[in-house]
Amino acid sequence: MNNSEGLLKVENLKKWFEMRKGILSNPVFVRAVDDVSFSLGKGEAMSLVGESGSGKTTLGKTILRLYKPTEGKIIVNNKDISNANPKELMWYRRETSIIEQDPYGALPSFFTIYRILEEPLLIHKFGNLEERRKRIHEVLDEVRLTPIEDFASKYPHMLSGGQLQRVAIARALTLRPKLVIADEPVSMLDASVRIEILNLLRELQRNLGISFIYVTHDLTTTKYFSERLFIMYAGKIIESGRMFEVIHNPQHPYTEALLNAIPDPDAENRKVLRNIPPGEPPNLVNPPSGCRFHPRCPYKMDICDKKEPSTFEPEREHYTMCWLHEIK
Amino acid sequence: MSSESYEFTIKGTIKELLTYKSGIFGIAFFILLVILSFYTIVALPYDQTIRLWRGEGGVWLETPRTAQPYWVNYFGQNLPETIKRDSSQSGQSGVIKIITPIPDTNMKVARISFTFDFSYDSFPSEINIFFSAKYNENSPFLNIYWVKPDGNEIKLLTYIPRSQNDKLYLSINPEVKSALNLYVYNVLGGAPESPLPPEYSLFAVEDASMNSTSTAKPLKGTYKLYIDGTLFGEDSNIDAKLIVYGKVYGIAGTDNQRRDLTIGLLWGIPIALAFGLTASFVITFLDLLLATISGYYGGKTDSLIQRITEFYMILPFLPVLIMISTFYKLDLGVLLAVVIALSIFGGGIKSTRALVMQIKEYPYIEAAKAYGASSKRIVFLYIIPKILPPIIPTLIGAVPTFVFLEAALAILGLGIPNLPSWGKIINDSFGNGALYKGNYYWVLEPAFLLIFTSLAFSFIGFALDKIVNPKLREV
Amino acid sequence: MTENILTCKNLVLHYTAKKGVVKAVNGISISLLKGESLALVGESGCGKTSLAKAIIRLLPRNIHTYNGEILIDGQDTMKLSEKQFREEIRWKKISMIFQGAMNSLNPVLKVGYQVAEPLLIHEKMKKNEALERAKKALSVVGIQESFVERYPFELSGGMKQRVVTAMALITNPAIIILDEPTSALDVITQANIMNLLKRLKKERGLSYFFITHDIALSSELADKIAVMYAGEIQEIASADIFYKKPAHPYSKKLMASVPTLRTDKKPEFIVGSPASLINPPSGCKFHPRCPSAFDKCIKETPPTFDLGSGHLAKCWLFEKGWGKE
Repeated sequence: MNNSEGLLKVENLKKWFEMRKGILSNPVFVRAVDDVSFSLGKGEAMSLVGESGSGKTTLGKTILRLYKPTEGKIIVNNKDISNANPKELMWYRRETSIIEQDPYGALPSFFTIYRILEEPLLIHKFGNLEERRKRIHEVLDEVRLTPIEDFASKYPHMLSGGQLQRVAIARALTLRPKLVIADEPVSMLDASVRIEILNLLRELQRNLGISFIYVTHDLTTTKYFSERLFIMYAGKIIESGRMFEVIHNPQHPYTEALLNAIPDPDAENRKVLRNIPPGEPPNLVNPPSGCRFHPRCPYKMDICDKKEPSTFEPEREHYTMCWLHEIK
Repeated sequence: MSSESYEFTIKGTIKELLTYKSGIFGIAFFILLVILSFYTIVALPYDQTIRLWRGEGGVWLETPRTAQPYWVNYFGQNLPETIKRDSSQSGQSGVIKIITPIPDTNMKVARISFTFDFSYDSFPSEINIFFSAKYNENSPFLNIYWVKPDGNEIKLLTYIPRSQNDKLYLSINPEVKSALNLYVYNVLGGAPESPLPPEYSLFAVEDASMNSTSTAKPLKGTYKLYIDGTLFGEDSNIDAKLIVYGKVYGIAGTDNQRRDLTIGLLWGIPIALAFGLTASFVITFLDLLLATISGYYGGKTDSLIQRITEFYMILPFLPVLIMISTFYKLDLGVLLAVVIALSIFGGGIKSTRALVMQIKEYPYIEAAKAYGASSKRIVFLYIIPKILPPIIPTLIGAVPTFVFLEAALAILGLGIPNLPSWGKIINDSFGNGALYKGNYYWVLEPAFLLIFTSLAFSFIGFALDKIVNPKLREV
Repeated sequence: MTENILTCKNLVLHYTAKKGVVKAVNGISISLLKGESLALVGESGCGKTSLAKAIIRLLPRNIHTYNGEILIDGQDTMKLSEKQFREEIRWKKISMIFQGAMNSLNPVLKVGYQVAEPLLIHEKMKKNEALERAKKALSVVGIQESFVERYPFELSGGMKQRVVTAMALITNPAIIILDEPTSALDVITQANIMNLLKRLKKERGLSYFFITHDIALSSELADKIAVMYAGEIQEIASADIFYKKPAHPYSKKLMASVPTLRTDKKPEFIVGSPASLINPPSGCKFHPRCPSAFDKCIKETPPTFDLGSGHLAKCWLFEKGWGKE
């Protein structure tokens, strides 16, 4: 039951990258995002899970208009931004932000923390010096980088990975955005720090009412993080629904494989082999015909390699792109 | 690598530099050069220097030609310094001037005598007497005598000055020469193997060694030159200045135009620094800008800039420069501008552009786009500060190249004509057979300064490289 | 009665760094039985990789101290010269799969040659014969034999990991050290590699020394777990005991921080950051982050207490035995 109003609506979104092998040969396309549709409500958090090469990062960045969509629509607050030019997007830049994967590369090394946080405010001409100072102190407080005076004057190379990521989060919050996309925000951090940062993100998301898209390959970290879970494979969202439903009752064979592949700490694990399909995700230049998972699918049927499955709803608000769930 | 404590400030960099030996030397050398530059600019103003260097007004008449620096005497040599006796300087020791009017006439008897000690192991290079005579119609009538320490007296000549300020070049005056040749003949009982120049005859020990210039030795002791003269006119007067030119002069010696080389050498410092630093900085910054625009924006702009760069890279730099300086009169500013224009589109752009294209992909650039930074902002505030540190060692290291370039042009004779630069000095020295004649100091001194300046920048450049390079791995 | 195939006694490896001496391996004693898998778990920067390198003697240049006893298959390898070690031990009795192994393949050599290379060096085989063995090794790890002609860039991440595994196996060593063997791989590929490793262990009776920071992953191979912190082993326990009831406070914290899929436990993070190896805390190195720390912990470093059945813990809580803390 989605009570919150819609903030983001993605319709049949495609992002293809052109690759030319030579000057004279025909261009080929990497179909990173291939017909994706979903919507996200205000203040709602969703997790977008996929292996590398699934297109999840591209999807996130296309939604932020860091890439221009090849086809399809992105509608935010009822405004269609799919084809807007940079000038027209300035309001959008104010309302959205990104948290990058690499905490060391995501902050300019030659600015102090204060200056890093000031940048978005300066670009959008936010207030005067005093007002900016106030906002910067606010966000540093929110990400718990205290004492603030201490951290504000430091340079990135003086901070640890976890602290840097807090700065990145603070930066993402400076303009009080409505939508934040976090692209693998903790995968480059030490395991012990990950939980801390994820907890912080969840808390901030809830308290500030921000719509959140958490992009990751690590399914185990999504459980306490968001209300909804989206699974992406080879450029398509092959399953989506409420978090606990997808995890406890997966409908797509790939989701099942994913869940089977993940170990919990259990002494019995070493005695059994995991039940997972062989092979690797397909390359996105020439994906398999029909359902893209069919070469690896243990439940493959005749139709699977001939026709791309539509999206079915085997349970309420639980969607999947798999012929197994075709409602006849 | 204490990169944790290293700060991106100038103060921090200097502190870090000082932890390296090469950094210490480099900075020390550099500070020395800067201090000398300031001193030179203040103590020897530019216009005055140009005039001095042109030798206007006969300013160099009293300095010896191609004299070595005085400090060679500390290395076992005992070369003569210049000895001056001026009769117009009352109270100078070794000078006696008596002018007695002859009663009942308007004539006067003048007696000027100069005495000096000579205890060097080598002969003077030249001997001149400068007269300052005051007379109405008739010039004074002077007999000039020379007395050696052993008591031998030689009458040099009878001399009548032809103007108020006349110069008697004893070393080349024909009368003096024949008088001395006769003298030597009498001493040796025959003609010497090779004719002795006057400065040799006047100073030589009178024995068989007087036979040739290679064996002659100077006689040490007190010498005397006296002038017995008759002056005509009531207010007539005469003053003489005797200059026995030595073979050493000053800290740097002199060139064939008697110019004190210290002036040229000192002025070479600010010229080299100004030229080298300006060329290096301007070229590096223009390169930086072009490479960043080319690398960041890509597309047609990138292609255009790269093609222009490749075209320039093929052009032979020095020949083009020589061509330009052959056809056009260059002064320092124009030369600088031409060098810069020819160097901007060089290899530096290619490597910086590669760096820019690498940095373009960094997450913080993408994040900046996400919060709305414009391309211009990204280029100037996000990319350029990041690529600046790796470029600075190159910038510093390139300074010697331009210093040498200016010198090379001057050595090739294509430099700026009246500019006292190191290259010009070397050019002059070659043109006057310095190495052939054994005047090594004339070549070595400017060469040493060129090397010293290069070392200063190279040392700093090396140390900076070591500081910056670990960060390069992060870059 | 299975014997120990690998025993370390008081192994020490310290490096010299600009800031001081890095005490990466600080007096470690562990043992591995034949056919057994030992998982070495710990946060990054605790010295795990250094321990592996100390065992297989792949040391950097800035060594400060390197001593202790290493018994591999009964032989004291510390007494061997480098030449002897290289010929008799390394890649004969024990081999290693390195962290980021996919990047350790030579990009300009064909895959087949690289897999065959250990044979050319150690058994002085002829090239053809070695290549044949390489083909077989590749098929064992699930790569088609035709891939001997390919170059590393033509392979995916998972395939490269298998190639590196083949390289580690080809001389039939008894012990394999695996240092984060699946770190850059996707979850499904990771599970496939784990399946492969499980199979090989069973078929060949291999002993694994499996290093990882991922506790959940460690359970895939571990018969025994050793927890490392600040260059020291804090606890050694059998898998059955460790994953259910770890003894050491640090182990407890580690287990609590694992996000699980199948249980509803909410993961907790560990306060503070890993101890510095140059300036470690006094006494018990975990005391600044330990919820059960008391006076003695700050002053004295605890010895390793035996809690029975090979369960060891380096913590003052167990001075009087387990269950009495």
